[in-house]
Amino acid sequence: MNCESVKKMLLEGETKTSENLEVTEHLKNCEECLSFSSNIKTAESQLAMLKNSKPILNEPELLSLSILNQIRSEQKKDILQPSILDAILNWFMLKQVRLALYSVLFLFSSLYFYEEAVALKNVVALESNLNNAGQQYEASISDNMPNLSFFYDIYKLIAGEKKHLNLSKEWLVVNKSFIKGLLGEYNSLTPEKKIKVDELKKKLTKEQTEFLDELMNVKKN
Amino acid sequence: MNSKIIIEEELLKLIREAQKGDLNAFETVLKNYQYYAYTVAFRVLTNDDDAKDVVQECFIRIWKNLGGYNAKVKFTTWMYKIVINLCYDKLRRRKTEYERNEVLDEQLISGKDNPEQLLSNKEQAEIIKHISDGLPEKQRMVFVLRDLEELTTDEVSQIMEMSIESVKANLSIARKTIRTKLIKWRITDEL
Repeated sequence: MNCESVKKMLLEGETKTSENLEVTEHLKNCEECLSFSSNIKTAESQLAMLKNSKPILNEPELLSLSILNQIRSEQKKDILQPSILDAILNWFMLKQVRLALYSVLFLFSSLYFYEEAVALKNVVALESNLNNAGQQYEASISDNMPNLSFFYDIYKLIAGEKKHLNLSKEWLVVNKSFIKGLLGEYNSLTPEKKIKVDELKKKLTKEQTEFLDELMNVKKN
Repeated sequence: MNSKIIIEEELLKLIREAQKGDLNAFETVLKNYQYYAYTVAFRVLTNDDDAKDVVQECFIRIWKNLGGYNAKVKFTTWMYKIVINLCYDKLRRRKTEYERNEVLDEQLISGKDNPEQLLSNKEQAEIIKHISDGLPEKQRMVFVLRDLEELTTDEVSQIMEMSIESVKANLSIARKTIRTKLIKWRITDEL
């Protein structure tokens, strides 16, 4: 074992028993390494001295008091000046506010479903009226029907906002009763819509006009 | 030193009470543990004021984050982790604020090689400053936690968020550097 490896081992401080014997043997015959080993031991003692000498914290009660005071003052600040977000969140955390919110949500959802139910009821009533009108019409005129695609356009104007009457064009063409009923609703239209329907009426063929008049008469009767 | 380590069960009880906002319970924890935080901070920063600042900030953070404290982790491990992070911040700020005074009073350590002999704060600070001068922050902290505070390698690895192998490697380099410095210092002193 040479001086370099002995010094390296001594410096690392962790040697195996077998290596220890070799190091001890080397130290017996090498003054330089012996002196190095002695210095290492001194260094170890100095490190132990450093480890044993714990730093002294002067006036520890002042330090803890200062920490507690800072915590207290921050708590006061938080109480006096809560952030807007904190204030909002705290407000929502109140049981009464949450109950009020749930009630409002319940009220609005109830209103929505009530309106849906009323609309559905109206549609059912309308369809029933349409069928009645259709039966009367079928009993009074011949089967010679004009092209009904024009009435689909009128239907769209009249029933455009009635989401429940989502029927196909094909269905409309074959269901005369339905068209009759729609035309019966003409009188309840807004003036703007009436104008649009009237404009459409002007485009009617003679045959279509006659058919329309007949339908209107049926409704009037 | 007025503090003593509270038994784990009692400490957890105090922490639970402090988590509910009981400042008195927190005060007991603070008074028992501030010294341990101070020791680490002092040994890393080698400055009394800086170490006290770190302790103050550390316990403010502990109070604010008590709700998130995981009782599976040792309280001291959590506390040391905060101390070490604050020390990192201090050291970084210090580098930009002023150049450290590296002039060492060589009389400080000469003739002092009796392990039973106790050193003053100033002496400890000067010696640590000298022997750890030039050591990377990580190695310096590993040395303080493992060799001076005598924490286990596992604890050091948790505090430093490093693997055990990495702790051992950093410690080995730190020890070699520090021993070499102590030897050089002694030889210079003898000349």
